[in-house]
Amino acid sequence: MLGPVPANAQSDVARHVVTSEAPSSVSVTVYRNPDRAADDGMNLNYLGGYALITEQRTVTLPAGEVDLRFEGVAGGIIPQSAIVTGLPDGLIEKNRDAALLSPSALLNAYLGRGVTIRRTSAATGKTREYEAQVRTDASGGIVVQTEEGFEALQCTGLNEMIVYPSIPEGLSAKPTLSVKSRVAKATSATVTLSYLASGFDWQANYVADIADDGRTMNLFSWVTLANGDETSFVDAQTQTVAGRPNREDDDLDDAIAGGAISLRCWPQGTTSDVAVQLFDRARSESRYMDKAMPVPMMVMAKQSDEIVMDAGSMMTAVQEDLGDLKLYRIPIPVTFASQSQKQAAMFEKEAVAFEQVYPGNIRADRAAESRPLETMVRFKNEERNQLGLPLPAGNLVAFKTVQGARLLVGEGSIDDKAIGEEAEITISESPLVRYEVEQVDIEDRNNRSSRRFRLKITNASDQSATVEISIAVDDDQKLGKTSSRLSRKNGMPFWRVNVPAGREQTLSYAVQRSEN
Amino acid sequence: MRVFAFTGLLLATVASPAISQSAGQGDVSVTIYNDNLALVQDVRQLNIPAGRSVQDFPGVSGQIRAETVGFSAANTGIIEQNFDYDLLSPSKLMEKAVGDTVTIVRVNPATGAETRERAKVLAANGGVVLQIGSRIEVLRDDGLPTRVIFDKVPSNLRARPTLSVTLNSSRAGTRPAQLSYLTSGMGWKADYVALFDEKAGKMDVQGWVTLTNNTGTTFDNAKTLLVAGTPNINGGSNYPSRSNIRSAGIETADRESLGDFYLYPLAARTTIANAQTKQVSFLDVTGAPAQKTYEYANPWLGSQNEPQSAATVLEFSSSSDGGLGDALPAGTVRVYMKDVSGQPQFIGENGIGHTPMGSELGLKTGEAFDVKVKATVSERRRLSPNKWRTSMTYELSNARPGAVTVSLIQNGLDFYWDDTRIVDESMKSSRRSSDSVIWKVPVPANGRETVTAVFETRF
Repeated sequence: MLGPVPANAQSDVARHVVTSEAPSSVSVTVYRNPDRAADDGMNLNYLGGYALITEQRTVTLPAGEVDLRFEGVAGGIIPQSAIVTGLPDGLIEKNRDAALLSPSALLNAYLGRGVTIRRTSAATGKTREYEAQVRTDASGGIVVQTEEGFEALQCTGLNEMIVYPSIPEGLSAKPTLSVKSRVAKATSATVTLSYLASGFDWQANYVADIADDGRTMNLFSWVTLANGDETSFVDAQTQTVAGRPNREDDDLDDAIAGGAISLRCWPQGTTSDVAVQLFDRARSESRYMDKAMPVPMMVMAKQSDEIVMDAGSMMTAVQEDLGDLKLYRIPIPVTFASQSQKQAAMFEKEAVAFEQVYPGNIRADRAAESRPLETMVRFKNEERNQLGLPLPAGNLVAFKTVQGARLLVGEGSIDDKAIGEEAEITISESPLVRYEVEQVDIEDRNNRSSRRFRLKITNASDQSATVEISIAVDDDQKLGKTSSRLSRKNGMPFWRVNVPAGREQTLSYAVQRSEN
Repeated sequence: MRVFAFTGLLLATVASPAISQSAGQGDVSVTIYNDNLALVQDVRQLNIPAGRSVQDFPGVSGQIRAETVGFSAANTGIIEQNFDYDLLSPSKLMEKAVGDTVTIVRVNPATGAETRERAKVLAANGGVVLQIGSRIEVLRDDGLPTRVIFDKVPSNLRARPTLSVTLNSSRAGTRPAQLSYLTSGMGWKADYVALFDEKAGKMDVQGWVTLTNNTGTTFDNAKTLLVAGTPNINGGSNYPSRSNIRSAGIETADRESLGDFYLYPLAARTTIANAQTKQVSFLDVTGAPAQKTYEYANPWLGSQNEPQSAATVLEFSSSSDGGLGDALPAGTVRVYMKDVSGQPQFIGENGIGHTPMGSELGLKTGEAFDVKVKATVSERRRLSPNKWRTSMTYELSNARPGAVTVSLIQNGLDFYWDDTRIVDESMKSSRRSSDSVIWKVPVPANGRETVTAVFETRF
């Protein structure tokens, strides 16, 4: 689309508007919501992450001052992040116009100008048109001026409407990004447009199938990415970035000129109905209305939206380093549709050695009734455990096959884990492996109390349990004699004990006020 | 009372209107400050009659601060200045018509025939009560279509808040009149695009001025000047935001200034449309030296259960010697790096304050995936009723294929008592302030390092 615009008084250079309707190729890099903890799922109705979108657009540029308009950019574009390169003579300025074509924007634009009022007779079906001038904007009802005087529209009970002669300049259907450039010689150029856009998110999803021995698992992982934007990206190079890039507030106060006209008339009460009526017509639907977007369950994911090259062989995202972040590239272009979630395999590792432990935290001077312990899966992210690759934050679902049926053991979350780090994932609570703390004795020696406690671990399961208890001791307390030797972990006294199936283990310890 | 001069209707033959009201503006210059504040100067050619007259000023900002309006024209004095914000609407029109006579047009629903009558509006409370001749009726009590035609609109009912000035002129004639006022709804900040090349230790930086206009008004072909600074505004929040300046510079930039504020004029006149975000380039530097460092600050003498990522910090200078060579107005720096395929990817952003030339900057761009620190309180002992000994262990890990140096910082040492001291440490620290110490810890490639320190505190 090319159309010369009349040169304005100040410049004698020809001005042109060139519209680029769609990119010829596009790349989307999705970043995780920086404020979302590892154990929070993605909220598909309000995705808090963002994406870097890089588009190539081929445009034909005439000589002169060119207004190059980019259509079809993501609705969540953060306009101040836009970068445009590839224009032959550089650019003068970048603009983003958020003024949208809407009933209220039309009325506002025609304030003080001429329009046509069309009335249709309910009796005869005939229409009559009147010339009128708009005297109000869209904020509180419509008053027009005709040759006869001043009238309020939509208060008469007649079938009446405004007919506008044309679309005002500068109103577009979607927010539009444009750049101004002075082109010396008519040419065709490939322009690269890149920008950040909100309304995206991604995470890793891990599926652990625990082997019968309870010591190894099959770990499969997905890259799950979601596009909450109204724009679909067709045949897009798709990447995700793991790690935490810093983000600032975008302070996007979008006073977008759009929306409905507020139609208020004068008091409309009649003798039989005294209540004042307000005509709030054309109220647009709330955009935060719940959209039916079920999260595909991990179990079903293999049938849902996975990216498969051909039957049987799954496509795997390729990992590379990006500075201090990790980038996962989906190897072939895919269509990243609007309002959709997409999954690609990240890796699959067999026979990953892990340890199942039952950790607990107790306070040294508190008794506690019998309580269940957490069930935790712990593994070192090392090659000798069949791992040794970056693990981005996400959730983990653990399954176990019992008598031929795959059953859910539990679900937990994992933070970003580098190679060599230890991952600890709490997947459930065990009703069978429990602890209780009893106070058994109190001594008062030299005005200094010493209390004895007994910690009892009970294991009602048919397998032995490794239990790890951390004991929090206040600054003015210290642990006295203990029945077993304790080590230290994270600066706290730490008791690790193996409890055979159907047995119990006890630890007794004294808590004393420290000397000072 | 003035009435609208209704001189026929200007219709569609005229060019399409602009989306917001800029009609009536003259030669406009706009000076935009950072924090949602702009000074508009508008020189209009006004035909002012001799004696008293009222001048309307359409096309002023929708968020004008009316009390700041200044007006000057030759041989003219101001009698009064009015800012009318009583807005025209159907109900206002009816309320103001109480006691006046209007025309009502009834439409016969069966035939469409119109009947005209003159009616006096008696009241507009809940419903509209009319007197037609000697009859009293409620408007549209029968539910039948009825038009109401008003002869006039009260002059103080406006479509938009309108500024008007009552003038006293000693002569008649057209002359330039200058209108100036402050308005909110317009502001600007800087946006920087930094493409960082880690291997070369260099970055390319482009600086953009981003100005936004939400005043409801378009300023056509305006001379635009940007002021990098925040004058004190009554009622405004002037809290200092994070500047990320590590060492403030002492070089003077080669730019025009206004008092202590640098000025950034736009080269050409531009149209600042309503609801528009406009960006204009002001800085383009290639190959400025920049380096990446790692930093981890433990906020107080406490433990973490899981290792925490160290921050990736991008360090560069705004000096003319080995830096960006300019004063940098406040804004956001977005940092990009090329991926394996050569495409720039976003690696993080951070804000800077107004930065004098010659400053050293350190921007945290994100958290390193592979470089982590775990701080643990390994022991805490009470030596006397007000003396404590806290042993800290810091475990550093590096999963990167190259060695790194982490600036390990322990904060929170100055907790009312600033006589906290280190009695023992595994490597030499330097004390940054009474509150904070720093170790520069080298961590080998794919390796670990441990630092221990014993603090003697009064808490």
